[in-house]
Amino acid sequence: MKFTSAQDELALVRAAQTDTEVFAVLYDRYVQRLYHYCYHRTNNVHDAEDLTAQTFLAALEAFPRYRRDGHFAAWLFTIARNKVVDYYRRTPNVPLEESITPPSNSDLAGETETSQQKGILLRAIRALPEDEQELIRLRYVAELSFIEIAKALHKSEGATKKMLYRLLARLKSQMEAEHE
Amino acid sequence: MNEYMSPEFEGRLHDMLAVPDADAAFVGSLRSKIIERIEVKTFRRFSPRWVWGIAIVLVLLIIGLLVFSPQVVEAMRRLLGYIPGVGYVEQGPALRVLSAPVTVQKEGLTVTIEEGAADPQRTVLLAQVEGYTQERYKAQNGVQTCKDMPQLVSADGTVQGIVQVAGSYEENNVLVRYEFQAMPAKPLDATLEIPCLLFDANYKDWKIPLHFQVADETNQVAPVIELPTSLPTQPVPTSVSTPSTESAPAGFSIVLKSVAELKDGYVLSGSYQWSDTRIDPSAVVISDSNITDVKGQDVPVQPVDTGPSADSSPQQIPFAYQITGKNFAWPLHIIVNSISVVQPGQGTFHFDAGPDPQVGQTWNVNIDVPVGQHIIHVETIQLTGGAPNALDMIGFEFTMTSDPAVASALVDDMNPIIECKSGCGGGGGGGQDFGVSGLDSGTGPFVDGWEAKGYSPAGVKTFLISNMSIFFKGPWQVSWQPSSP
Repeated sequence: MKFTSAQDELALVRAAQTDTEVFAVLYDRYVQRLYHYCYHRTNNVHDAEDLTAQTFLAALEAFPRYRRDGHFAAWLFTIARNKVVDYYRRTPNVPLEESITPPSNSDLAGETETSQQKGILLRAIRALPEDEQELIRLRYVAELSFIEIAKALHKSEGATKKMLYRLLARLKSQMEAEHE
Repeated sequence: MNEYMSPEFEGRLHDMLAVPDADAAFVGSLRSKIIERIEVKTFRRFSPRWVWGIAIVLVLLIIGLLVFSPQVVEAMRRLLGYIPGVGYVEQGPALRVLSAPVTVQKEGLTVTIEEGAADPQRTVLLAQVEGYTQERYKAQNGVQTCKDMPQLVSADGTVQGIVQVAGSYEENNVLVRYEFQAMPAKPLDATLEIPCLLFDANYKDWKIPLHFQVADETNQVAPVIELPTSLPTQPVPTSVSTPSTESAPAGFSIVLKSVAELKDGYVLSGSYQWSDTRIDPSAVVISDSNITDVKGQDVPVQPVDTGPSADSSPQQIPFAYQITGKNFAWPLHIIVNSISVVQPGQGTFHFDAGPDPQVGQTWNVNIDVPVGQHIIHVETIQLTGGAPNALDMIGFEFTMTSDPAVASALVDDMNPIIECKSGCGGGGGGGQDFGVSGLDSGTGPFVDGWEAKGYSPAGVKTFLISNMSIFFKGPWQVSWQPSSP
């Protein structure tokens, strides 16, 4: 069974709610994206794995009550965000701002060439307010669609797009200014 | 919506933020654990004891359907309950309510947790704050001086994170609705921990002890009765401007799903639905609706939380209305006179604010911009900014008109220039929409605007008009009356 589009995903979620074994298919689809997001928030493999596991197990428990609104990813990442909030409550010594220093998995040859730009960009992102950092994470780390981000952040899709594109414009001009 | 950011920059951003994949061993191990949990659930569902249980329930249900009165069948449908102020709750032994209001006084403020309910899905607390001035509340809403979130800590140490918090100022008090994750079934004691009350850094470290008890169904929780969901005959939506081939939500209808009877009224729930799968709920606005009695008199209603929905269709907007009063000329009619739907069309125009535009300056531009099948007339453009709590934010406000079918539209700078002398990021910077307003009648002007930190308004700009919203007229109507008014 292979599901690709949003419509297919809705069918998959429906199937999973009457046949919980199908939940494993949803797991396969989202496990890496969810892990990436958790890694980004914690900068720690062990904690990222722990949060990923907690999120999926909580989602499995809550799944029969999930309101099938066609945005499973938004629901899943809302659970993950709550788990991350709990994580920072339990480990208050880790400042949230420090979490956005992920090691790149890009190739070593390109590493030197882009390290300066990357440093500028990461510094710029780190200086953003938390809600804007979260927008960046949900879009470029978790790879959520605009409508999924909008659902997760309780905003309209249009407002989410506007917010992100204005934020990117700002980041871009900041990078260019610092590069010069 | 404009997507003026270059895919190349987005690609670079994506690559730079890339992190390593999860270890295959971890992924496989977690997958096995999930499948194991699923198998336990499946086994529980179909163990012989449960099969007997299911069989007995089925027999009772069939006997009930054949022999007992409709009231008995209705009683068996009581899956949900409704608590005024709290909203829909899941009935059953796991439903707990606050045993008594709790009051804590500190630093000149009095906080009372008036009501609370915990079910397997969420925990809701209703609080009242006395002594917090309206001026302070208004100022605080604009700039939250503390962003630490409240949490609910059970007596066993389990922490429930906040899901939603909302406040309003009414009659010299602030009313706050906290929604937390579900509490464990036991223990029944918990502490509401608020790092900063109303997100105000001046009122720190509130800890409010709470005691819950298993809900007394007959006392606080109103049963929710499902209603037959046969679709009434509905008109086909037509654009206010005709003829039109614009995206209308085909099959639009109002469907009533349940009613809960309260001491002083009713709560009706249902959804506005349509069959066109291309139209997402975020594109549809119910722009003109009301509830009347049979004589056409408006009935006092208040929208309330819609609670959980068992419906699977994404082409719907759920609603729940609390009706105050019971003495009406029945039946009541829920009427939607018009809806608006966002259309895919876009249009652009150029504007030159000159080399040194000033905040407050207004230009009567009178530019006609074709968007889809309509002409958006941009009447005026004003440079805005310099609000007391955001002195460095600047942007444009656009006042537009069009034919009566057009409800609203958004305007964006296609190539915004941001000049940040000391960085745009810190200190709460960023873009902000300050309003899109259209009139329900579709006969007046509508406004869109935004402000951004470091935005440069000078020179020639290319603006994009998008997200044009079009009115479709009804009316659509559904009627309801209680079984024994």
